[in-house]
Amino acid sequence: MLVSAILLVGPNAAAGDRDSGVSDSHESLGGDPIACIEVLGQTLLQRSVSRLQRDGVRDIAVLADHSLSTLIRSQHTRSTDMVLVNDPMDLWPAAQRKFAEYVENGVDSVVLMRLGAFVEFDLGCLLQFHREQGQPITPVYDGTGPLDYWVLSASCDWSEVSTGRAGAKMSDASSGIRFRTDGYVNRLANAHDLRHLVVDSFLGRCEIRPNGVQVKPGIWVDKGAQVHRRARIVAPAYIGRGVKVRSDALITRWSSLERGCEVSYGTVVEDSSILVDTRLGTGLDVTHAVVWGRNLVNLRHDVALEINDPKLLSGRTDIRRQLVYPTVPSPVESKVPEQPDLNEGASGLRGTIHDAKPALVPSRRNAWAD
Amino acid sequence: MSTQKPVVVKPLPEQVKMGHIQGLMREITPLLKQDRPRIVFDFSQVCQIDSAGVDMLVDCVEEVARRDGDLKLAAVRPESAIILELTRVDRLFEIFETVQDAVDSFDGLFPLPGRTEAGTRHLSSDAANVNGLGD
Repeated sequence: MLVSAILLVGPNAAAGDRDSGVSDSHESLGGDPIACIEVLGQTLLQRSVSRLQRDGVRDIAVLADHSLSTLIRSQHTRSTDMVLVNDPMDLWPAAQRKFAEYVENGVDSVVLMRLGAFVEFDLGCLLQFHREQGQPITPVYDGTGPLDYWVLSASCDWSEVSTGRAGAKMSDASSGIRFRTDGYVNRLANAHDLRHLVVDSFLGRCEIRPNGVQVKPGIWVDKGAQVHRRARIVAPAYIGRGVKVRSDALITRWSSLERGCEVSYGTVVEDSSILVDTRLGTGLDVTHAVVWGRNLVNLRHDVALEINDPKLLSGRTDIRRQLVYPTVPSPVESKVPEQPDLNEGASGLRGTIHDAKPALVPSRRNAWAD
Repeated sequence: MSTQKPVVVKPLPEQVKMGHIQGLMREITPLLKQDRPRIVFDFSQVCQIDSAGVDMLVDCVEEVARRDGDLKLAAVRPESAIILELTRVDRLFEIFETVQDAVDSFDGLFPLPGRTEAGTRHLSSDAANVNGLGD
């Protein structure tokens, strides 16, 4: 049986309404779809593609609107077909065209996924269920509602599926027999969900495993990461590719530092996710937060802030600008002891790594093992 | 007989940021220079605070401590609270939900509020003093 997949990415992929069967959710952080944000070293889009390939899906098309071209291109692999549409409203019609193309090429079933929620389901079971029911579309649900995943038979006449403002509605699907998954589901509706996904991954509640090498139980370090010998990493934690952790910094309690981050002297990162290419300033306390560039969501206060102060937070572009226009250090900065250099050329981790304290994570050590 | 000084409540502006600090410090400095100053910064209007604002707070608390006084914060909105936590400045101050709580905290008595000059309220935390029974 020949199965292909179409993955829709971006907020415009979700444009459903009450009758459409497509959820009207916009899973994004700072305008970027959460599916394109790296979590423990890989985006959820990449993880979904890998998962489909592992399950034997040969042709996979990723559809997104043009505003996401940079993000999508950076994650594009030779094995996937990338389709960018100029008008966001063309996303669903483009999916329809891709579906028709797959059917012409002799595909039996197409898995259609709008990458909002992160869902782990048994594709074999889903396809078997779809075949047994003999209906043109099988929607995937969990206990709380639709997940925006469908299986479409080649015999499915898409044009008969009523069209709406998103270009297509799945109203027929929502009224059909549903496949109810009992696998791991995270709807990724907001920063809280993103943090839950990271914690669940550390705990082994889902299939996501951090990239890189597990240098100690619960501590993963990716390629090119540099940790100062006076920095401390307390499990569970993830230090991403090319991350720099400066002297006297502390990374602890389920924190993840994604690719290219920099944690300055004396800064504490606790129960937080620091997303790609973010620089944390000197002597900060980043707790219960998701941070990307200048943006911070504090999960305890449930407040999102844009902090336009490069001494506190910055993204890579800000760092480049500082190199061109150096700023005068503030009186507070001058009081800080001189910052020692990192161990340049360090091949891995040089800092102090502490195992998780038993009281913090009882009987979870096995879950971190490979 | 009480010798307590009145509590000074200083409402801070919406933005406590680089570019606003100099003017703000001109207003605040006379309060800090008093003997044993007892000051409450009213944060209820503060929406934005940056590292320059945080530096200013640190300078203020240092100055107040030098004169054996006390500086407390009140009505801090979540946006500001996050910055104070982020920069670890929150642990330098006692922070209260309301200005009144902050004023009361100086000695635990119930003061009567009064306004003596524009932009700055002087509240006594000493009931005897307010009622004219003090020295």
